[in-house]
Amino acid sequence: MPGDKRDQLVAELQRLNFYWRELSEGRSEGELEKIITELKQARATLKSIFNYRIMGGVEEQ
Amino acid sequence: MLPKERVRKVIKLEKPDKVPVAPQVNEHAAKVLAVPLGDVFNDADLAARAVLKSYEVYQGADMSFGGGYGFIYYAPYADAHSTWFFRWHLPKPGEDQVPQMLEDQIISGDQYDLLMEKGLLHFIRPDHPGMDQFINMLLKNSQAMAPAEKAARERGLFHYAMSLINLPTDLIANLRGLNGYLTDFYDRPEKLRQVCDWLVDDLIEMGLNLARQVAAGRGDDCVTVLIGANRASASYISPKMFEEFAWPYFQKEVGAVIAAGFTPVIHLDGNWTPMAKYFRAFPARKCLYHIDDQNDIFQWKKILGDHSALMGNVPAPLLSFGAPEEVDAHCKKLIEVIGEGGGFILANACSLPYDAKVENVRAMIRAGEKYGVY
Repeated sequence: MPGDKRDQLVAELQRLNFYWRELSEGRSEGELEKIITELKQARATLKSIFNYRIMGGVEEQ
Repeated sequence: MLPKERVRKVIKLEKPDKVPVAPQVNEHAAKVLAVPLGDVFNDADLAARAVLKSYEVYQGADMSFGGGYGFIYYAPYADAHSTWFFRWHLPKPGEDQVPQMLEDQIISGDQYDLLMEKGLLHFIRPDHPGMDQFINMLLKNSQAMAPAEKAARERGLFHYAMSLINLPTDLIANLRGLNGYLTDFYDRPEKLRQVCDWLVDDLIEMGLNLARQVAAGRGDDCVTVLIGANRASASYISPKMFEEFAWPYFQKEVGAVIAAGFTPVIHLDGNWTPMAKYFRAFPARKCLYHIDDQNDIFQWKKILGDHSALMGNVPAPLLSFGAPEEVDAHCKKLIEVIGEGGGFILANACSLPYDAKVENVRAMIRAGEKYGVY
């Protein structure tokens, strides 16, 4: 089902970022994948610089 | 006596040769160079020129200048100025306006648990600047500011803030918006305390780690850590609320900075006069209190003058709209009363206003020379 993948991507985005609604609205699956990849990279980089508990858990990287 | 030696004597409550004067030239450097702030904000080379020009124009200042380059806003740091987490409108090239935070309510009162579960990385804004942009700006800043750093070193200037630590309540206020923050004291005090507890140790560690890196890079024997606080002042909350929700964290932060061998610069925005008595609990002659123009500095002198150094608090409106003679008269009074016996640095409140008149800043420096010699 085409909708399933999008739903999964939106769920992934929701797990990663507070602004998931804003980020997912009107986006194609390809765009969502790109946003998720970029977000994961940004999070991983920030966590590598500021490895503190308040930044968030590493399991989400 | 070198300016940095003068300032250090003040912090120790020893009497220096004269009252140090410290205009905090940040965004104001653009005004000195007569270019729009947006140009300096987005161009490290121009910002460096603005700092060097400011050193020329404001000879006699005892602390180094910032310059107004905006890289600090692009830092992915747990600080109120970070565009990674907060919504700022930053000046673009050609625009002549200061950065402004659009204070939204980011999380609801029910989402504190989400914050503590997910951490700040979960709250990266969709329009965040990106690591490449930040690193690029950081490198540009480091390269472009080298001549300004050299000038500060040659002049023996004191560096006001080499690292910083926020008070937990300030970050919380930014996440909740002012209304949400204030109602939480009544609606969910336990949760508020829990979030402060969750934040404080890491805020301290982040600030101390940055200070250690700066100390190693500079080889400076007086490393300053700015502890910035605003929303726990009496401009927003009562001393009783302060005692419960801010004071324990203040104690923890200041205690950690002193224990690490650094100098706390306690930067207090808003009115803290009703809280001044609390600060006597900190070790004497170790901290510098830079207080805003909403404070009664004369009361501060009575309460804390025999204990710690005070810095401030020439009002922003006076520097922007007053006449040099008025600035002179105000500074004279501050030097005579607050400077009596030492322990005082004549400065603007908070940061020098972007639109402060150059002749007024010069009048402030001249007042230090005219009236401040011990």
